[in-house]
Amino acid sequence: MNIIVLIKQVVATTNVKINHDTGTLIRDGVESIMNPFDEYAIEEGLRIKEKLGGKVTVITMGPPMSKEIIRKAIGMGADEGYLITDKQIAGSDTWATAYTLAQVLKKIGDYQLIITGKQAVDGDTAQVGPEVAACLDLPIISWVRKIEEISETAIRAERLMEDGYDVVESPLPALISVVKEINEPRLESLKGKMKAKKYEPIVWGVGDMPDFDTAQVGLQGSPTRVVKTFTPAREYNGERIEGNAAQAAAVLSQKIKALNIIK
Amino acid sequence: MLGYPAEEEAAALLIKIDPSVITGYLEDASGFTQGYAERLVIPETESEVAEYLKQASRKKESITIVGGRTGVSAGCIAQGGTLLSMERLDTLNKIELTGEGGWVTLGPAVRLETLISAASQAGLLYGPDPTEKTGTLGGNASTNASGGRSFKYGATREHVLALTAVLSTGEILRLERGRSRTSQDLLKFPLSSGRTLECQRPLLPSLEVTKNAAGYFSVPDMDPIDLLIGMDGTLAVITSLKLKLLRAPAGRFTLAVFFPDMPSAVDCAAIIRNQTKDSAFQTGPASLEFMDQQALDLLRPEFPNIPDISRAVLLMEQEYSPGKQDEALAQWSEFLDQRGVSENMIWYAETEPDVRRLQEFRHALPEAVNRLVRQRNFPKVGTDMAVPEKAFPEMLNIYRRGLESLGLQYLIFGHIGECHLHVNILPRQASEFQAAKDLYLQFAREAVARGGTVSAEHGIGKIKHAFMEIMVGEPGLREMARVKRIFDPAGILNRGNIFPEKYLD
Ligand SMILES: Cc1cc2nc3c(=O)[nH]c(=O)nc-3n(C[C@H](O)[C@H](O)[C@H](O)COP(=O)(O)OP(=O)(O)OC[C@H]3O[C@@H](n4cnc5c(N)ncnc54)[C@H](O)[C@@H]3O)c2cc1C
Repeated sequence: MNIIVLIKQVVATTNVKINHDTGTLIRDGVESIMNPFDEYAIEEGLRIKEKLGGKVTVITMGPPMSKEIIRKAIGMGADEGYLITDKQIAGSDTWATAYTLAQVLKKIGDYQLIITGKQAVDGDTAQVGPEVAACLDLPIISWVRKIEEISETAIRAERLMEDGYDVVESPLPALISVVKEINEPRLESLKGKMKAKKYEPIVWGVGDMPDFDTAQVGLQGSPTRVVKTFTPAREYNGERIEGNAAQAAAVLSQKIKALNIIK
Repeated sequence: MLGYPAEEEAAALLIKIDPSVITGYLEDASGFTQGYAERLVIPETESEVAEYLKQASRKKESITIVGGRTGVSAGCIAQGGTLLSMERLDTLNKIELTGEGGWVTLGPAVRLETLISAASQAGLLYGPDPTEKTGTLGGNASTNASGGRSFKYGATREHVLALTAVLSTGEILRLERGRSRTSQDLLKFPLSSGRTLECQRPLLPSLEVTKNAAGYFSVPDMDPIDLLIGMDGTLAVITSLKLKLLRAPAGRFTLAVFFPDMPSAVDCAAIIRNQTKDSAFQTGPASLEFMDQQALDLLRPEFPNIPDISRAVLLMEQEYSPGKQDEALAQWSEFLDQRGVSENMIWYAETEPDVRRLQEFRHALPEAVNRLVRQRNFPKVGTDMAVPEKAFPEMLNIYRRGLESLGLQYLIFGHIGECHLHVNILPRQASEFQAAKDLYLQFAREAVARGGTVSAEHGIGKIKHAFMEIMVGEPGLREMARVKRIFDPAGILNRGNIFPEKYLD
């Protein structure tokens, strides 16, 4: 089975600092790491490969320094890595990123399963995975906490919900996004590390994809407009509703209706 | 209460007699609960220390020196008298650079973590790496603390270039390593008063271990400064230290290597130990640690990736100099290939998050043990012996045979690089607790009979006198008391540490 894992480099969030004048992240001297959720995605890919055979390929879109996370994936046991980097895609939002990744996947073509982390811890949108699936017209199971069964042609997985989980079946190819409950990512192995140090990822720019529409990517092509970023002031003006559950719920729904949030 | 008004001294020295304040100072990491004290003194300068000790000697006022209170053998816990807290002597001076690294002078209350980060900002490394980073350097020197990297760098001792200490007479002793040599085992200590204190080196059974925290240091032709390191506060109060710093490595990685059985891990460790001595083998690790099957089993729920078939693990930290990472990786890979270790039995960590995960793996063990102990309501019995290399495999057999024959639950882990493994026995009932304690004494005798130490790391303090006696016998205890009386004629400093107080009277 050919498994593709989409990964992203992020700043180590334990020491993120914000420039309070501009509201942007200070990236200088801050260590970059693989988005932690993506490690779970790679681990799950490797486990499926260990069971069914095949190949794990990682793809990241980002600046050239993102090669480091591809090497980390190789160190863990991935077989191949693509770096998608191009001035024209810099500044892409989630939609433009998904469009780009979808073009890459179309060109690669031969895959049965795409895995992503639940979300990247920098933007925290959790949009790219589902959007890639939409671009490729693939089924998606998001927030997978367990793969109950998988074959070359179908998957049954548990999707984490707020109040429990759903069991979802899907034909393959499909895309899944995984939560950290799914496994414990392995560390690199020594041989893996040595291989990774020498490994040169395949580097593609927009010119490598046929029919790539550059109007859809980059800062200009992205539908999202960042109007302003700021640190929200915390407000603590909660109101306590007394009474038993039924009474409290009735009062609460009245209040929400009054605010025109529900009808 | 001693017969003088506390107020008299308070002017310069800030004596605290508020019981609620004092109580906070009567606890370390030993679990020893019988501490009490009449007053707490917090001097700000060396001369205040000297002045106070002079007065205390005159009044025979017992003094217990308090550092970071992270000790594990109740060395800093007073049983009456005065607590002398070093906390205000916490100046860290500017780091000085030399060709090979650098050095720094500091007050005894500077915490290890403070030194480590200052050194690292200067591109330097403080070699000893005791796990507890909130301990003070005064405490570290006083207990000759060691840590993971002691395999490569030795214990605190090797890194103390000079020290200043105040004797209970109020005289000040300044010692620099390499300055004075002994002749015929007569140690000479020049004092601020102009007097030279002379002391015959303590006659104690000689040791063949690389690391020891039990009793006074004593080897032929020793440097006098070494008598003050590892003395557990019984000879003097350390008021300043000059410590050696090394050039920091370009990088380091950690390996966890799992083995399908204990003997192959132990053999592998022995080979690494020998190769490290061989200068042709570049990649001697800085640390070489071990956990047995029971330890791994305890960790499996928390670390499900531990390979199913593994029954032992070695943890190693490898440092490398600029441009040498590839070489270090290749040498380890080749070495482990030769040992037949397959790829899925090796974990590698170098980035900060990965190294943290491996550290958590290592530190999770004592926590898992403590959780189990709390559930059971019987304290664990934990040993601390190290033996000479040639006796190590036999000692390990003695441990396992003894433990298995009594059907005790146990785990073995620790610094296999220095032949220093901790046996933790986890009793399930009162009879097992007693059996475990007896077994510990028996193990200690076996270790001593093979040239080993009863405590390589934790020290004797107030709670392991019986073990000290096993190691040096009554004559040895008397010999150490003789040395103490030369330094501390009033017998007031850290009474009850290393040997029972009765030897002082
Ligand atoms: C989780 C944990 C991990 C640990 N890991 C290690 C380890 O890896 N290796 C190791 O060796 N130890 C270890 N220890 C034990 C402890 O950290 C060391 O013994 C340390 O050296 C104690 O330093 P301290 O400043 O806390 O001293 P304290 O506990 O305050 O005192 C220890 C002894 O030193 C004396 N003393 C303190 N300051 C002076 C001074 N200025 N002059 C003279 N005597 C003085 C005290 O009177 C006492 O006898 C560990 C402890 C814990 C809780």
